[in-house]
Amino acid sequence: MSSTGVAERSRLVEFLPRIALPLSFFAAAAARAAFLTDAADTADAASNTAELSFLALVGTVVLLGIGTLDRADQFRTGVIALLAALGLWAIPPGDVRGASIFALLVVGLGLVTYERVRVGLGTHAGELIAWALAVQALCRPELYLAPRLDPGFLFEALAFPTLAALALSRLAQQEGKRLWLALLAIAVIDGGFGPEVALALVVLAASRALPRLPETAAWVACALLVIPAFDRQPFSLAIGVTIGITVAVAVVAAFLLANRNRTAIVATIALAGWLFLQFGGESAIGSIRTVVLGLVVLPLAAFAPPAQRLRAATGLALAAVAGLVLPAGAALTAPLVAIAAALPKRGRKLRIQAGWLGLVSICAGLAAIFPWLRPVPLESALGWMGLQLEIETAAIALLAFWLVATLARRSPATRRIPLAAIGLILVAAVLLANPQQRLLVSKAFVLDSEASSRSFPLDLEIHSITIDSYVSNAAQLADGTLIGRIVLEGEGGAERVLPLALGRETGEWAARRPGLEPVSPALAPWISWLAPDGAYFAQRYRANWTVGTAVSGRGFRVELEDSLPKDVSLAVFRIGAR
Amino acid sequence: MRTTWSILVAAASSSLALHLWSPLSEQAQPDPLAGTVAIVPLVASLFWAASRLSGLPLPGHSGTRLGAAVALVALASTRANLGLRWEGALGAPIVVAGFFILLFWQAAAQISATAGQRAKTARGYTGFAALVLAVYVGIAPWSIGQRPPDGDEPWYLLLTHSLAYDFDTDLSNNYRDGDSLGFMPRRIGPQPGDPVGAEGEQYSRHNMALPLALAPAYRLAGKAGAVAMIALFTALLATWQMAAADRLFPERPREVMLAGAAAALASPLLLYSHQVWVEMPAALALIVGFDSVLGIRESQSVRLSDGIKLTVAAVMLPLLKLRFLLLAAGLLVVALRHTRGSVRTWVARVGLALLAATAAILVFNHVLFGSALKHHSVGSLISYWSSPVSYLRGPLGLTFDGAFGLLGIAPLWLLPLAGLVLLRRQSRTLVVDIAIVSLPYLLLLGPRSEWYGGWSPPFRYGLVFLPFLVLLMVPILTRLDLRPVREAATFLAAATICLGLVALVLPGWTYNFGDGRSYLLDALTLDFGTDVSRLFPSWVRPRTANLVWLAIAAIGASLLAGRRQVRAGPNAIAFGFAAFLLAMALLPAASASLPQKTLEFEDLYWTATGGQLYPPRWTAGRAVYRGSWQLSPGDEISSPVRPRGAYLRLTLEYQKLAPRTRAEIEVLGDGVVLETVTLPPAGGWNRLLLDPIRWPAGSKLGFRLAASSEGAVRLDRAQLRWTAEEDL
Repeated sequence: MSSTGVAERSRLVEFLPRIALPLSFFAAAAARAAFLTDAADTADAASNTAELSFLALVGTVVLLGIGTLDRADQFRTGVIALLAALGLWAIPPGDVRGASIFALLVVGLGLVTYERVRVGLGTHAGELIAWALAVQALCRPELYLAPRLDPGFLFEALAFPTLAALALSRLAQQEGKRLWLALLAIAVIDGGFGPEVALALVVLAASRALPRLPETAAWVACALLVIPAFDRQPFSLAIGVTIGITVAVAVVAAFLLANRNRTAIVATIALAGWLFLQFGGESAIGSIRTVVLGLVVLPLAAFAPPAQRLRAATGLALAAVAGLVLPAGAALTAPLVAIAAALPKRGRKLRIQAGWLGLVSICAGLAAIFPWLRPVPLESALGWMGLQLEIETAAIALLAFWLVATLARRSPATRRIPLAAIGLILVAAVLLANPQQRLLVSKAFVLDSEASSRSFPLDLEIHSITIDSYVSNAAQLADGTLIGRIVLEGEGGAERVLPLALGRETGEWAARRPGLEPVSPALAPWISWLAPDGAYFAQRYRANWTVGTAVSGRGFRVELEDSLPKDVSLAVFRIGAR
Repeated sequence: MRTTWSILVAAASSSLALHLWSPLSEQAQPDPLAGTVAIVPLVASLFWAASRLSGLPLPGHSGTRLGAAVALVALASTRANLGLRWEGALGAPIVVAGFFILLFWQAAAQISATAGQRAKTARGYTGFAALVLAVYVGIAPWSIGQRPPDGDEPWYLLLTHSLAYDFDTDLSNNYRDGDSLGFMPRRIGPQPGDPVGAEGEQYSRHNMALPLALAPAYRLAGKAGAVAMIALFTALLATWQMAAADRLFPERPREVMLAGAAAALASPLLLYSHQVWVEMPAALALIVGFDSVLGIRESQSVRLSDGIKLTVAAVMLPLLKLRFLLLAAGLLVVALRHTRGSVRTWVARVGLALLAATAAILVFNHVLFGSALKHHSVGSLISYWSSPVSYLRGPLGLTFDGAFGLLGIAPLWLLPLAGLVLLRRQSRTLVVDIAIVSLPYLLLLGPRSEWYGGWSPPFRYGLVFLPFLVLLMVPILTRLDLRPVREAATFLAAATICLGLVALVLPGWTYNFGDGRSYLLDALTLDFGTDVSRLFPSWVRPRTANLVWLAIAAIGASLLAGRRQVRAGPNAIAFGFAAFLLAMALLPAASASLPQKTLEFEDLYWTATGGQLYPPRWTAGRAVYRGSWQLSPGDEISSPVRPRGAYLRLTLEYQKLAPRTRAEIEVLGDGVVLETVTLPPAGGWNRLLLDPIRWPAGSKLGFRLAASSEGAVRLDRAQLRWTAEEDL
């Protein structure tokens, strides 16, 4: 046999198991869906079948990515496929099954990604494409709910991640696997690979300008910054001025950087920070993306070697500007690529950066699985850890990162595991000391025009209160319409009112139904599940209030607003308090 | 060493503190995950200690797994806040499954790291023991929390309680005071046939050797202490059987490690690592004795340590349970077989010691309980003896039964069967030795109607032989670099992982009834709406599948042990997993398409509008009854069927409760009466062949006891024979 023939056969031998395992998983999952009986699932047979098919598809795509990256003997992929199939067979339908399967897939993909990057490879286009498709399937799973082979699906599920991966492959061949970090960060922050990300990466790859990356990145970022800004509603004069100034600052920064004027760089960064505070106002400081940027980008740039600090500074400045105008992925692409390119090519510092980004990604990935369609997963991940999305949180997280990194750098290798163990046990202790919410209402009830109020006793001091709810038949109501309220009845008749407004604290349960979507408020759901017909994701919402000073009272009641149309109802699932 | 102990003590203190003060334990109704969360520091420290004892660093990703465990602790503590629909029964099992996956991942990683370079020293073996102990300790809180003690366990524990607190074996005060409430949610009373003393003392039928061993730990920590001792015994068993394999196959350390690890981390040891049954300590005594016999055979002299081990093992076996005397005798026969001269004389003296101990037990029983065999008699033992075929049922059932067999809970144990074929060809000595020890015991147990044990996880009576299966597994693992072996091992391992995880997460599912089904197969039957059970063997309710699976096992074992084989490529493991996933996919399809020949009326695929199960689910000794569905006049029962022809010939097996009264059975197709049959006046169970019925396609088959009937009728099974019209 010729050497070409041997090589082709060898490729086939490598390729077969990577296909065999995902397809076998799909067969096992499909068999579960195909042979469901009415007796087993009388209530939600259709949604159960749809959910199984959905999970089978997403699982197969992710397993393809896992199998492609798992270069060992496929044992790990086999176990993940096995556990996923077992989960589909054993766990009853609903949000718990979805969250469990997604958790397994996210952890599995994270593991093989880490392993793959660790062994020093990772610029192969085929691998990157399989990986990007898997990430896309996890970040945009709704694409796989009853998919049709129409242009929308082909572009969003296949073309954009493929383009991004191809571009990254080219960039990484020149700059090394560090750029994986950029791709990972972009995917995490932007929730997958959209058209802007793919476009930005293709422009960067095609420019062949990596030796002058900071400058190129700056220009690309400046050009793309404008796109998301015009989408912002409502578009005010202040925002327009902000955008104008920040674009100007970015352009100046790019010119200064091109001349390597360090004083000017510092001044530019200071100016960007000032703009941050001055024009961003509440939307900037409180912005989730600001914190995201703080958490992801700053540690990423922290260990850039002196020779690469210009690139890091460029990335930071661009990122700061991008954060101000609520950037889409495109706006983040250039800074992140710049920062990733600024990292050392190998060594402990790169490992620390990769570890840090991996940790953030895992948190965000785990958050993304719950409830499948979380638009800003990092926010949720931080929320689960009891962290509020404030600038102080970012500072504390950065300090903790620096502390851990320093300890890891200075401690001998033999003590790192015990050190990590002690740290983790301390974290566990903190978590354990943080008591659970006390459930004031755990049995769901519905308020409608006939029964518009429910009262409950209260026998504890309240610091904060949480309510899970949804509204029915609210599609035609305007965003912000007052749906109801929680009234805390204090001692001596004093009352504290917590409003439930449409699109803020609660929302329409069928907001994703194809016909309703355009007119429904775009509030992030807390939990999603498949609607009874299995055609779209139903959703319910969570609202939190911090009461400030502790409130103690005789009871509380939940009320539905009287002025609403007759057919509007409010379903309350649970009310918790701390 | 001091550091290791310090860390272990600190971790144990952390676990205790978490157990006492964590918010999960403090609730009025403790969270089912409270124990698992509390045990995390102790388990982590045991893994760390195991690594230190093995002299190797912790494997890669250990920190990741610890981090994941902490994340799961956080999830367990705050899962109620998430608002998912899992506050009830669902959430905790899924979280605990995550803990178990981490536990086994860490254990497998450490074993894999040491497989090539482990030291066959006391320190190395201690490291392995610590490793498996970490796993057993990790699963124990969940397992014992989900399922109260069952079968004989409560009485063993009550005897332990009595020994620990009253320093006697009289249980009358313990029954009176409800001491069982300390370790289970209900009071217990004497078991039927328990010995009663001259002054009204209530004794237990069970020997006190095991309770004596558990009593100090029980006094210290109650049921948790007793369970910890059992876990320790199990870890010792897992280690000792590996040491014995090392002695037999000194040139195969990697394969020995793999076999030892597979045995330690798979069912049934996992399931019994927290169960108070005598079989597990008996297996420990057996392998200690067998190992010492191997030592004596090797050196042809009696070293003090081997002598003590053999004597203690031989005497302990009947002390644990008198029937284990057969195993002890077998051990000594094997020892005599391999020794000559003065060594043989020495072994004979151990035999005399065994005889003396047995006599002492019999006299003690006679004096204290009034009967040398306690609640047994020679006559009752003889009544076990039966037809030659019945001697096969127990051993085959303990191996192949879908509900109680070893392969039903951990198919990986098919490998020793192939090892047996291979070993028989290469060296018969070990096979003969094992047969000498095992066969008498199997001949005693085989014909028992309750050969499966019952009220316990599968393979209870066979557990004592598990160390032998480990020895038999090593030869086949030497062929792991061959393609069929590697693929088959992966396939079987995948099945074992699946079944093991289900058994650990849902411990109650391992306590099957002796009715030819299992909780797992019932769940699949309900899910798919077809009788999945019939595809798997049952030696309680023999069926065609028994022969099919026997043939598959025999052919498979022969193929794996075959001479002509090709080397495994890089894809063998992937294909093994893929084959198992495809088998999963084929299961419902096969169940739906293969013809049904027999319908059992007590099974779950029936839908009944009335009537009742007979005998009731919790009837003692239910296996001796014919399980059936009892219809009263007007009651109806129906099931989907898959026709294989236009005409159906039915054979009904039934019993009329009032033999002389009138009873008519209506055969229904989707509720429409197709034929009415008058049951002849006859007592007992009868068979009735019905005339062919033209079957309406797509209909459910139903049976109704006509409203005009007098008295109830029990239906046991219906035999179905489909024919095409032209065949009539």
